Amino acid sequence: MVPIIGMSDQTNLTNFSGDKKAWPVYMTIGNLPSTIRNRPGSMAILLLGLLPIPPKLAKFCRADKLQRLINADTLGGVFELIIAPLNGAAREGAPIDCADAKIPRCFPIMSGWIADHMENVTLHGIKSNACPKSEVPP
Amino acid sequence: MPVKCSFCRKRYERAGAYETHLRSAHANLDIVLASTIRNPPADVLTDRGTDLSDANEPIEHSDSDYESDPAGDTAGSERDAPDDTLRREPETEVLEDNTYPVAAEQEDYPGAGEAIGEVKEYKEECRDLCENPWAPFASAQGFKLASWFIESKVSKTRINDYFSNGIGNSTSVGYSSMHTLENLLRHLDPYSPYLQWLEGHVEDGQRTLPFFYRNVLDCVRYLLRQIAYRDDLVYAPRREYDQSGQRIYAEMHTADWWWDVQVLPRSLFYVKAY
Repeated sequence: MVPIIGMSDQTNLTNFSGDKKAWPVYMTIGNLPSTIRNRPGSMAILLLGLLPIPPKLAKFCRADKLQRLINADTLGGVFELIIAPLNGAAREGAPIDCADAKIPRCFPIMSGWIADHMENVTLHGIKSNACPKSEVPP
Repeated sequence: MPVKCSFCRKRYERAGAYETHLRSAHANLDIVLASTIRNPPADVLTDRGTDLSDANEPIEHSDSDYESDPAGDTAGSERDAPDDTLRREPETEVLEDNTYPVAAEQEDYPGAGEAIGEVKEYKEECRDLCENPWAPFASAQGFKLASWFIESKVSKTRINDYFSNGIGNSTSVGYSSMHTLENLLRHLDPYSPYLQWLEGHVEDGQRTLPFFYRNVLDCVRYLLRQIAYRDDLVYAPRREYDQSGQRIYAEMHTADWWWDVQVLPRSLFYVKAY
């Protein structure tokens, strides 16, 4: 089994002007011991994708409600596309060449996602005062 | 702060001892590479003659970690044991308990991480690595100079100046400009084809936004293929207990989640995992 750990966070690229943002998604695998995985020099974390940044919304603008919905749908679609290769592999397993010359049948599974709270809110499409892990009402 | 030898797993408290260790045990990187490869192709060793096998001897002895290996596909279950105990506090001795429920192991997994094939090009890759460890660079000097250029962040124009002013000798290093150096660097990672970027477009009602992504499966392939991780990769879940029978939770594969998913029948696998 290959547990995949994902990470994402929206980040500002410019501080005072330009309003440029990037939204990187990273991935690594749980087969590596955490001491090695998290070592900066081990290069075990790969950049998986750069998500599209939705257009900026005016604050307190009710007319943009539709736009928010579209943004959320777009994000869902993008993630579906990125995760798509795992669909068959997680069910049936995929033979993957390993470094020890063996080819085990691997089941890559999305197992964890590391993100801060606001990121979780965006990804799960929940209210920002709700809990992304449990079913406690906001 | 102890230094860990990057070629074997010995630890050294002082820089002097580490240096003598490097000089004596890893005098020739060629030999080190040959010893690192667990199943070196027999013809490589015989090709290189007697001096290599002689020189190889002391390294293998000092290299307790590789020696204790069952040299195979036991999926890192027993393999990691000595290393794991080292990493934790030494006073709590860790007992390995590989009580895999047999049924679960054979049910959906032919023995968690067991091989269903062999990588065909592996032998050739090992041989190439042994014979030309500096590939795609022609020599050690070429590689060291390039890594010095990059690590000290020398700009491209300065690198071009370095060669055009005649400070550097391009014949001994194998490249003569930034352009030729970049060509070599492109071939440095043999698995880079796994990391192709794909481009997608999404419509968000106002405009079409481009975004870029990689194939997740290929990223997994890339990571699992790295020789650097070979001795640390874990394919099977494990339950660890200490001396008093208390369960130890340390790494991801020693926790319950992995075990639970591994034991699941394949039809439920997908549902539970997400």
